[in-house]
Amino acid sequence: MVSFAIRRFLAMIPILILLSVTVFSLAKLMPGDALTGKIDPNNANPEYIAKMREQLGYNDPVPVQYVKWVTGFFQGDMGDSFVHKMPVTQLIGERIENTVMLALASLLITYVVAFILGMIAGRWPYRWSDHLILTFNYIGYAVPSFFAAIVCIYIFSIQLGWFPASGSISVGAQEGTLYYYLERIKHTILPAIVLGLFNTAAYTQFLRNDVIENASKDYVRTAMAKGTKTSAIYNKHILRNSLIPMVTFIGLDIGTLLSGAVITETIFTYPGLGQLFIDSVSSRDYSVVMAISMLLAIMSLVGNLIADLLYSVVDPRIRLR
Amino acid sequence: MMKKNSGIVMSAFMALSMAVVGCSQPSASPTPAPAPAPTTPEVQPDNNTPKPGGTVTFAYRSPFKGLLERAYYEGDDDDRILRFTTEALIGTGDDLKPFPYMVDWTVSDDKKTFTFTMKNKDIKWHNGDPLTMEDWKYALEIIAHKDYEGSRYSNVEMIVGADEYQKGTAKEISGIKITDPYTMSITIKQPTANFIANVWSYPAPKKYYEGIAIKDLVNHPKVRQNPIGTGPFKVKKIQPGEFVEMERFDDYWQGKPLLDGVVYKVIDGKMAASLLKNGEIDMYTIQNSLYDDVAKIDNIDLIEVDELAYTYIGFKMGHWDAEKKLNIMDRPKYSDKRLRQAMAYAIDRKALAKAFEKNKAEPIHAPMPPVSWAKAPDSELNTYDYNPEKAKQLLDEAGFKDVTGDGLREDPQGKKFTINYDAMSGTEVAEPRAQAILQFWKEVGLDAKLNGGALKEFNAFYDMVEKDEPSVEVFSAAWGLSADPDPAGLFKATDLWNYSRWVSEESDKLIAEGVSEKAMDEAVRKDIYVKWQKLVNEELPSIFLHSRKEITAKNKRVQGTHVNSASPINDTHKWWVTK
Amino acid sequence: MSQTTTPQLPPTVSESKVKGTSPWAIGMRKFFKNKLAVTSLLFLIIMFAVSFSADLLDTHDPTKVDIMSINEAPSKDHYLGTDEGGRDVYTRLLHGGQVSLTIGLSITVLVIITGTIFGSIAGYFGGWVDSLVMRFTDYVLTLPFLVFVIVVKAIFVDTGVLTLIFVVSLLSWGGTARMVRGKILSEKENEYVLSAISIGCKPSKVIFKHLLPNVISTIIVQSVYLLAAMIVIETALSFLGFGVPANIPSWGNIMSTASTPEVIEQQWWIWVPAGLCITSTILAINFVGEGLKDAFNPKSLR
Repeated sequence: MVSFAIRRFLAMIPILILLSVTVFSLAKLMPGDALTGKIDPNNANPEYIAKMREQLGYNDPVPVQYVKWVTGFFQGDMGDSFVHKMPVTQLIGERIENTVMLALASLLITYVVAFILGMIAGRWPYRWSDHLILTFNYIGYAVPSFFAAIVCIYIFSIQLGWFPASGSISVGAQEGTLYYYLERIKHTILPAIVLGLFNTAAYTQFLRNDVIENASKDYVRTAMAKGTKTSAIYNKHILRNSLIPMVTFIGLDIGTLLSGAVITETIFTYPGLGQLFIDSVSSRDYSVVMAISMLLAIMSLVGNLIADLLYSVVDPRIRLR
Repeated sequence: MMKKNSGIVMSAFMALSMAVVGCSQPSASPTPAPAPAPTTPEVQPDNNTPKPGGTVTFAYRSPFKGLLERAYYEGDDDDRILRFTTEALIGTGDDLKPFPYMVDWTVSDDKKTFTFTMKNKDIKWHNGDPLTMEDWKYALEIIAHKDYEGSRYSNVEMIVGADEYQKGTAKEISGIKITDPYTMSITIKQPTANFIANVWSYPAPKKYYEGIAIKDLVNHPKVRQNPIGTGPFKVKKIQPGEFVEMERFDDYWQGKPLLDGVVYKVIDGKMAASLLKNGEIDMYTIQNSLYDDVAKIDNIDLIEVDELAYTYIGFKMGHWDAEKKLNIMDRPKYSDKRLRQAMAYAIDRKALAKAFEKNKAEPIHAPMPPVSWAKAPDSELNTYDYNPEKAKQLLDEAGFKDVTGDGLREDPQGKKFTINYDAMSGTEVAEPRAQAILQFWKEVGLDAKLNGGALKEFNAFYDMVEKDEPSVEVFSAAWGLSADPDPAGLFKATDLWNYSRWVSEESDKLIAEGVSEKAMDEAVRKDIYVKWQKLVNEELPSIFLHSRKEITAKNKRVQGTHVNSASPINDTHKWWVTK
Repeated sequence: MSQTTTPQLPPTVSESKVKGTSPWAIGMRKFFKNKLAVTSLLFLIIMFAVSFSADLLDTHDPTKVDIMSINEAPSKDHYLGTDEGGRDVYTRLLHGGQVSLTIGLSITVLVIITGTIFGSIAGYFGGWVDSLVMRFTDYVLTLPFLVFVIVVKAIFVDTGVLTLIFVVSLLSWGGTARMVRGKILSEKENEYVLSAISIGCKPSKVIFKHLLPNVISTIIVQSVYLLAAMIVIETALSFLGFGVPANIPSWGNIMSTASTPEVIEQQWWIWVPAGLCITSTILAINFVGEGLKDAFNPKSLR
């Protein structure tokens, strides 16, 4: 087990290097730079822009820029945001909490919903309930998320006034109070539902198929023959067996969720990494763009690693490969 | 004089880091308006007497950076917060002319030394420190400091000794002298007509910032978390990227503000109409595409002012020589004035305004917005009213004739002629607007297509335009303007941002005259600018399209507001709410 | 609700080892007994046929702007009204379908081909080839999908539909490669394959003749789901402004007009038809996919 983990971990290193090269070259290839948006004879002049370009090292040879960036990055220095005029680490620090909270909440929603629907559909396959769940899932899947988000805001925030339409916290909430945390949750629910329900279809279907398959396995037949109650078989034996593979997906989800937050965060003006990313791409705030891309890539890399490790615990045969 | 306007927002819901003037902005009805009247102050009629108490939520559509020191802020996002908390010593009136606000001034006989005196000696910073001339001097020193990373040096460099201070060869800026805490004189390098309009006049709290090195200032908690100013409201809580809570500053020098506080809130622009309707936000400068939706809401007033900006279609007529720092006119494709004029006549700007600006934009004929005092009256200019016949006639004269019989004109040499047109993506109407312009040209027989077959994203667009990419020929863009009408920066032979690369000795001469000593007489200065506008109007290095209206929506419960072309936020100490 | 990586359904673990009649014939017979799947298939055929004959069925020029008739409600002249540029919504819907379906199909084909090639090479050769290919696959899978599409789309200035297809495909083949590799690995252990190798069959022949036919059913199912996923992704990207250029009609571009509550509330003719087209197409594709999966799975209950 340990050697497997180490092997997998070492395998990450070349991927990381490749990733950093990709991220860096893509960022450099974007037309314009952080100064393009500063063309403003009101407040600046071409000399200032030329000076800043020089100072930011945009004129250095590209390999030099890369080495500077990558060495800084792995020492925890992601550079300064030109637009926000602060260290990227600090900027990301301000936002990451919101994104993590959103991701966790939507993960929870995905799993709870998928679990319930998947069990129902799997236990009584090809019945009306199964078809209904299938249809529901695919509709949720087919509706573009931006559209779902706008409709949700329109109905639940504007018309019904149940949830706030934007932000992560209300004006006047004092940190540390119960009210503060309740407000945080209230602000997270709507975007989390929109983000979370997307994955539900895949998970529900997976669980359903797995339950159906397990139902035809020998151990179930044996249990049946021994006269165990059907509900007990489903709720205990089959559930346990079907849940294990699903758990391993959590790792795979981490990266997906974080980058999936891009759309949701922008529409809900939820100040997380996704929103920051979109803003930074449009203002060509390279250091932020590179840091977030890199961070998300590393997250999914780590997620994959966790998934593999979890899976190898579940199914030891995999370690041999 | 101006700032580049994207006229776009990259993806509809995100605003850029700079002031963005949407492509789709409404404006006043184009009735034969008696020559673009200067904007009158929009003081709301008070139905009942002002009373204290209550808070107002002011919304904005992109997350703020939180650079809450005037010397560093960049965009409208932070400006709108600072409008509540800080004030400039020299004011800008509704007529966009500078006026003595917190300071008065006199000019020496050689017109080089200005002596400023504080009108009120009892102005306090939010922390109780008194405001003195030291604070102004300190602000100028921050900007001229070698470690300063902001972009405002152009507002200080005209002062004698600023360059030496920036290079580090001088300990003080020699042109700045403080005689007593409330009197300061500034000496400039040469007499300049627009010095008062251009000089940096936001004080910085010297005592409060004491001990902070200039290089650390921009990210210091005293700027980021606990900024202070002399304005009517002080910052209470900053939630990065979401909102700023501000409370009344009781010692404000013009008396205790009426409101208890103000909340500045970031929203998704797409939700604006709904949020205004249900009262979640009180005041918001709307994207003009929302005009019809917001106009329908009962509890909302709409306040229109002329925007300090204009849209245009530029012709690339040369390139920028970076070595010589000079524009060289060497691209002949659009060098025939008749072709440029014909392309202007071919466009129905009123119809465009109606279709895409909800009729809230006025055609302009020279690069000066209607709100400017220096604008030449339309009677002095060729207004290029929509006239396809005239366009065809000019094209015939210039030799652009259809020789192949395919309905499209060839160039005078009989070769295929295609206009390569560039525009920015971003708003919902960006695409149809571009298509409509192409269609106008096709109607007079000019073949026109989108460069590369698609609209360009803001950064890519300006990258190509600035670098004079060979494929860029005709491009649609916008400029945001400052209060002072000086066109320098955008039209001289030596201006990088003269994107048309149009060079004219006469224009350069007039622009220089416009800020010369003799132009310190306003009437003379206006004369010069009228002459310049006539020249540009005739030569047409760009087709000037529209100047739009900026529309601020306000809940009817908010009273005493004052919106002008410079900002929707003025005189905030007089704001009050009915309930 | 769409976002991020290609939302492939996790492949089921079970696999078919059918003997006797060709699994194809059995599968097809089973599939055509599934009413829902067959109806969906018919619907899809009609949808494709209509979209691809847009030029015959349209009433206006899809890009022609008419600034005199903006945001008009449906009328005899404009069956589904006009949009913010005065363009005919009905016409744009037809052409948009053509664009969206073409994009979905092209990406699917590219992804399946690339994924299958990489997956079978890795699975068949094993050893260092496997490690190399799979580490590269890991790398591709690690790139945060949306983030990279956005950055890459920001780079290519004159981005057309082709760039979009290319970029999305480039970032999406990893899952397919992994799946194909897994299948090939397990198929490879079968005696008939081992003997084919031992008598000196060329690798390409073994892969194409013996391995792929046994994997093909899984690939087909996978590609059906991919198609649905890619259509959804087109709409999301177009909404963000990183998808199909605004001057080309696509379902995503039409839908993205419905970005304010006011348009949703008052101008149903712009988004309802496109919304219905997208949703019903995705549903139908998924039902076909479910049908195929059941059909190819010998253990399925029907």
